[in-house]
Amino acid sequence: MPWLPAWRRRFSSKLVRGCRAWLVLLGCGAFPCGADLRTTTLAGAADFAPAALAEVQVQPDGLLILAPLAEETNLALGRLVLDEYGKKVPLSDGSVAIGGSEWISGTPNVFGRTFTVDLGMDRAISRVRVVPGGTAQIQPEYFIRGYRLEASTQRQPEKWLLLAEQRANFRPTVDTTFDSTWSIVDELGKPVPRRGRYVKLTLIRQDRSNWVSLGDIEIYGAGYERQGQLTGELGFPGPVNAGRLSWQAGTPAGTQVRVLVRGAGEDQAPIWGATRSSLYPGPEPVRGLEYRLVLETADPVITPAFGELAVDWDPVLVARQVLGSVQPETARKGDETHVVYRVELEIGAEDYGVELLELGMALSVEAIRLNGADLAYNWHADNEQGSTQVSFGRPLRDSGVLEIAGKGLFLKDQTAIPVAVGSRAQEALDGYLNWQNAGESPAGTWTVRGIGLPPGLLSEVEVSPRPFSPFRDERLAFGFVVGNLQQPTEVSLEIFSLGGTKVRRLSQIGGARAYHLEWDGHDQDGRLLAPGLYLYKVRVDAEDNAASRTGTLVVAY
Amino acid sequence: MPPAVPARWSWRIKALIGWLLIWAAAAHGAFEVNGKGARTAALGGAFGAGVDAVEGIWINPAANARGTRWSAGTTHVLLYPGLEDSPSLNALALVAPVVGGGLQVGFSALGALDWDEQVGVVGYGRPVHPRLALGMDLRSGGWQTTGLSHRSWSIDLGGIYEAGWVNARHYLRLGWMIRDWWRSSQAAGGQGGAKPPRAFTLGVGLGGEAQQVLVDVERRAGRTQLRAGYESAVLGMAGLSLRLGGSTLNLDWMGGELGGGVGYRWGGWRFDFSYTYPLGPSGAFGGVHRVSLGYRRP
Repeated sequence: MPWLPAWRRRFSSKLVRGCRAWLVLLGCGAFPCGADLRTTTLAGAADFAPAALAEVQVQPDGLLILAPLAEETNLALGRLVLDEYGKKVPLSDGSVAIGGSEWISGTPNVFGRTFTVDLGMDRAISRVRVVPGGTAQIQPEYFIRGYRLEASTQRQPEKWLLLAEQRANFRPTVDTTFDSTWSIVDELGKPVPRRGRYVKLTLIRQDRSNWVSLGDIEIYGAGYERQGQLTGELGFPGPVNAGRLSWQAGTPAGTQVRVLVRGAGEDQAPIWGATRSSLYPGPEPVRGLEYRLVLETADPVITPAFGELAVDWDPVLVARQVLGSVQPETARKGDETHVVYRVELEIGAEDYGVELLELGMALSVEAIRLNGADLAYNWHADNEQGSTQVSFGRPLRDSGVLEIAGKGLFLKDQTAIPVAVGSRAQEALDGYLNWQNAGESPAGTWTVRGIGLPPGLLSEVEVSPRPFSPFRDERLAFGFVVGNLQQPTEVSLEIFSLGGTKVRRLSQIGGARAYHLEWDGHDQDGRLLAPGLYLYKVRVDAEDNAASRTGTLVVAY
Repeated sequence: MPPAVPARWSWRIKALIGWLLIWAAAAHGAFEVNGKGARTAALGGAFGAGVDAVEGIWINPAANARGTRWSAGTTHVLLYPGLEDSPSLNALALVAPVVGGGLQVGFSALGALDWDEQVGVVGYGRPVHPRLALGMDLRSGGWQTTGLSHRSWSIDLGGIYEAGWVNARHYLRLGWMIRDWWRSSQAAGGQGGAKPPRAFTLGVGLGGEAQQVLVDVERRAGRTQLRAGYESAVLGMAGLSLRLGGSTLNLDWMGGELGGGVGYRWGGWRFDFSYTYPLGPSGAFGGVHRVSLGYRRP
């Protein structure tokens, strides 16, 4: 079969669910015959072997781990080396040539001079080697006579622990392999790696007859590479609706695994990977997926271990093709703008049909038309998630153009509004709703460009009702808009008595959007507050900016 | 003048002060902010053992039990000027020597957007012993907002104990109060949960001719508020005094406030100003300026 990649793939029989028996008995009935969710599982050396590996290795038991450091890997190569004045010196470029790549003291007065190598993260240091500079290789008396080597960790950079020390060195190099003063050795006398990010060389002997010439500092370590990745592809037997992606991995403290995927052959950045189980977020249908497994560690001797990657896919689509676009393409920042969202639907007889639709932005929907005719629908906008869900009374089984008219608040320079469609029938068959993500229409765009000056970080706060009775109104609503925010941050509401005592705090993590916080009239301990005048403070703490709004509210009952 | 503190008492008094200082802090409820004067505010609200001052009527029903002269005072406050709709507070107080004791009458009105609140208080205190004075007051608090209003009632108790001279220069006075000893619901629907929580306060005042230190510990609704203030006359400037004070809630500075102020006495007239600033997150609402003007009949 041409869609099959050359490498071995396993369709895990235990995870393959066929047509439900009752569907077979009903002759497939109202649902498309062949509606079955399948799972492709990648695990073990055979599945991962054809993939591209970089700094990772597949264990005999099938687990994927970071590659162990090779004995001859110089961790200091290319790292920053600073002298005691904080000035960069060329002692980690791997070269010992006379001139630019060696360090020459310029004076025999070298006692106490230091060179600190920053390895970038804690590593398990097993050996340090200091190579003479080109000058000292010609005239060995120019090499250091007394030295101390120490290491400190990222957590305690000022706490230096001894690696090795020689007050009378007559070797032409410093190499801790031959240096009996390495402070910690095992029962065989072999150096035990010392954990550390910084390695400091201190010259502890002043030789009045010589200057000092150093060529290179080399640091070797045990443990694992800090990051590695594996990239591969898997294919499907035709266009499918990719479903839940899940993976299993061991991630001890200080390590992490990220899984990135995208449609095979797509020229876009890999997406997904934050959670261990979520729906494929890219445009669908897809004929294959490209995946990238990224293993990282901040601990020099611990590696994460990746077990398996499982991908659900459904050969029955919600619609053969779904394309989205929006008009107008620009909106004034901070103003509510009327938009019309077009969804081009191509639905085949074998497809589930569109019963649900989700827009990636909170819109206040005013009307929905299919090929110009009004449709019955229900909708719900979720400001917190930044989405709008629409459900139709019955599945749409005919191709056509849906037009969704509504109002939205645009705060960013670019607001992309992706669309996905779903089917209750699919959900009933497979046990979860497998949204089919649409693509962007080639005839338009689903990104709205924000124009004008960005609104302030925090708008005025609308508090209603006033007065508020927890018995009559149940909730006091605080409405405001957070704009001009690049990263999600905490938005908090604090309520104080008139005497200044804080009685309640509510908060949400979110980005630039409209917020709607509700308070039930109770304090932090669940007690109903007495009637009175209270104070509130809404606060947004952005990385480089902060804003707050204050005001009064009335509780009366 | 009451006699000096008996020697055998002094260690107990020291222990009591120490205990009050380490005991845990308190403030809560509607009508929480009343006509408290500028002098009291500058002292961090610590006036439980304060006497012979017209603004004491908002703190201790026995504060003017030994009052022998007519006096009156007003207080004007703009609360939290950092707010766009800052509430304002105005109060009037009167003390009259009546049948061996002191009659206290006060009225406080708070006005804000969509909210008005008034508190009226009538109290009487008198000495029952050379060292001890007791007092009681009746408060009536009314609030009004759009479409709803209500009036509630409460009774407060208080006492002042003149412990006497601790040494040649320092005089010790103790005060105690039970705020809202009896009270009705503050809710128009009469909900029991809207009764203000009772507050128990112990106050200590230690001072001489030119200086005094006041400390209050108030326990209310499971929280403890510690308040302390220091007042000193300015040498060479007759009638002028400076004050500093602060409070903590549950021994947490972030729940308290710091204050300071100045007072000037000219004949029977008294002018006081204070500025208090919340230390916690409510500091965003801004500091509070209070101005009080009082007159005592010579």
